[in-house]
Amino acid sequence: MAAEPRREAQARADQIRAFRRELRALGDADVVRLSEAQEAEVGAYHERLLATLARDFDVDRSEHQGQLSRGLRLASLFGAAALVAAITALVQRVWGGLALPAQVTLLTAFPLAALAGVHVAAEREQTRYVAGLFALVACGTAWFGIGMIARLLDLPLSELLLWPAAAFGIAVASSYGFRIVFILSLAVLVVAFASVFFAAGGVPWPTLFERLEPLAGTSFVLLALSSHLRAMGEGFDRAARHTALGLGLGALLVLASLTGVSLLAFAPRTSLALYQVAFVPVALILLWRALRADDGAGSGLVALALALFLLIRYVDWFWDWLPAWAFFLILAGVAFASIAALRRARGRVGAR
Amino acid sequence: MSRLVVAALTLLLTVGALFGAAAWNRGGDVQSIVLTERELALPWNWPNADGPPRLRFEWERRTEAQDARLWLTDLKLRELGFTTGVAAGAPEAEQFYRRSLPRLAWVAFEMDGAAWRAIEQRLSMTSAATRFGTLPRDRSHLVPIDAGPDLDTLMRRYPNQPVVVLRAVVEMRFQASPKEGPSVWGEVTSLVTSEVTIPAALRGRLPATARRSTSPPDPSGQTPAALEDPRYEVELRVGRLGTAWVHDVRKATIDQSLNYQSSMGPPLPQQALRDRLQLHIGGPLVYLAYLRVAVQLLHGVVLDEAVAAEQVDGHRGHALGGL
Repeated sequence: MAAEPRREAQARADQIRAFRRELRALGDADVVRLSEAQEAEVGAYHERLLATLARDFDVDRSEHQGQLSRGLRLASLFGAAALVAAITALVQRVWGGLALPAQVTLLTAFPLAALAGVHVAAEREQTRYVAGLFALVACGTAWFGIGMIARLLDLPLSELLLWPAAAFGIAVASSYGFRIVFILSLAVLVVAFASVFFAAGGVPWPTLFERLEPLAGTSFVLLALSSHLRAMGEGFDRAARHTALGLGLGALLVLASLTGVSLLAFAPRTSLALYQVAFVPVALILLWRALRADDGAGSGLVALALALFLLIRYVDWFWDWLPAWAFFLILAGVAFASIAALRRARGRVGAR
Repeated sequence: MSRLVVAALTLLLTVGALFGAAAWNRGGDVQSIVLTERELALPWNWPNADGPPRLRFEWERRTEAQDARLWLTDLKLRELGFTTGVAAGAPEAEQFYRRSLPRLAWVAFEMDGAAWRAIEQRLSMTSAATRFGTLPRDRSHLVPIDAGPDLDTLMRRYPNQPVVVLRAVVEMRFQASPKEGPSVWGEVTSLVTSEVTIPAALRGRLPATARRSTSPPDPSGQTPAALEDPRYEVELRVGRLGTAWVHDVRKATIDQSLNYQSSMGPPLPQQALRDRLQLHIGGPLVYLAYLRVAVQLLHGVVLDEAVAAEQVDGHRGHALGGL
């Protein structure tokens, strides 16, 4: 349980719940029935174990508690976003009446106060919903503050500011294992690395959002290195993998769908054709890797990108050629074929 | 806990580094220039704009191909890292130049100088002839006149002149006009620092409202409404890092004689033509295309340095240098 203690504790609690349900079902079907003494002994053991897990890891002891936990996570995310928005709006509103020292103090104080909030909340609750909220607020206000102080001092919003922003986020994320903060910070880090390519060539760094190869390349480097990030926090390797897949496949999807977003020296249509040819094998390799690693979210991301790519290609190639009824009929046919293929695959997996 | 301390230290060090950079920028030899409300505009919703009060740079874009080539020559574009080897008329030119990446460059902007007066004359003729385009008095008098990869070189090139060197983004433009044929030119599309903050102590010197129009807009939409005259001047300084800041704000003291559209309304074309050598610098006869007259004399000479432009440049650089 060392690597991902809370996740494994929750899995253990879920296992106990499933065992109790199955034992009841076996008893109802007269297959097996424990004696009262055995039932009491097993029940007491499980209750003790659940109490320990709840105390140490604040696990959900029932399905209802699980649903409420998901709600708490969502509320934490929305709360953080709303709090950052409130702080930025307040700062913007009262700005005119403040002198520079007061402005800078205000911009620095918000993230520092949020960091203190992270520490206090994390020490008091195991679930860390409130601490996670404070962590997101700390990152949001710190990033806003760094940008705003640069503007106040009439300095350009240089790509160099991305590095401390990413470092701040990663330090906050790794303090108590905040995965959403980690994903956001990694995204900033990928952009910072990709921006080096443009800045070194005397090209404005925001061009990286218009020519996507460096962004895609940096994302796939992160994908290759993601397994090494496990040591930084619980589930950080998975978070890094999903960030890299999202950014890398997103960039590749745009490169395979639009002309004028590539750095390649070929004619735009040639570059487009190259990326279209490359997308499917790359996506299939990534899907195979994700399935092998038993990474459900990762394989879902790749499958989504692949489906989007095929849909865009289909529309691009056939919308003008086919009558509307034939276009949608073929689409429905593909859906039925997918159902048949997935059902067959499901049967094979079940047989094993 | 220790990682939260690292995060806090990262933030504090970053803020410290930003202050260090600002101090370094303002510490050494600085450029200084006086701009007006035309060149440093208030936000449209002033004084109700959210965020720190800031003034936005406005400059003459010089988006006409022939005009742009006069100051941003092929040689300068190559110095900035652009590839200009493909002729504008070549079949692959459009694709080549549209794919060209933007470049960061140091750009010298001249305030209310010979370059502006040339543009002003041309604009007034165009406005009088076609009633199309913004009236000259509303436009910024800050005109890009030179560009290069090095700040110090550009600053040394314009000593004791109303010129300010700023970091900007330059992009290649391609246009295939049915009448004038294909053309390629460079254009300053944005400034790296496009706004400057107004220090709290100087905010009281700015007008209480945003700049208002003095005439209703043209119902046809072709001629925008004229704006009132600039109400303030800003002494702007630019430091060692090439970023600008507001040093002083005061009431405008515009010499309206410089602006022949100040209160008498638009001049007649023949009035605009009586400025002798300024006419040649402004070049209305060179810019025949503005008057919808076919251009016949280019033949690649403008891509290099036109003979007429060299002569006029000599006058501009010496006898009319102070204009």
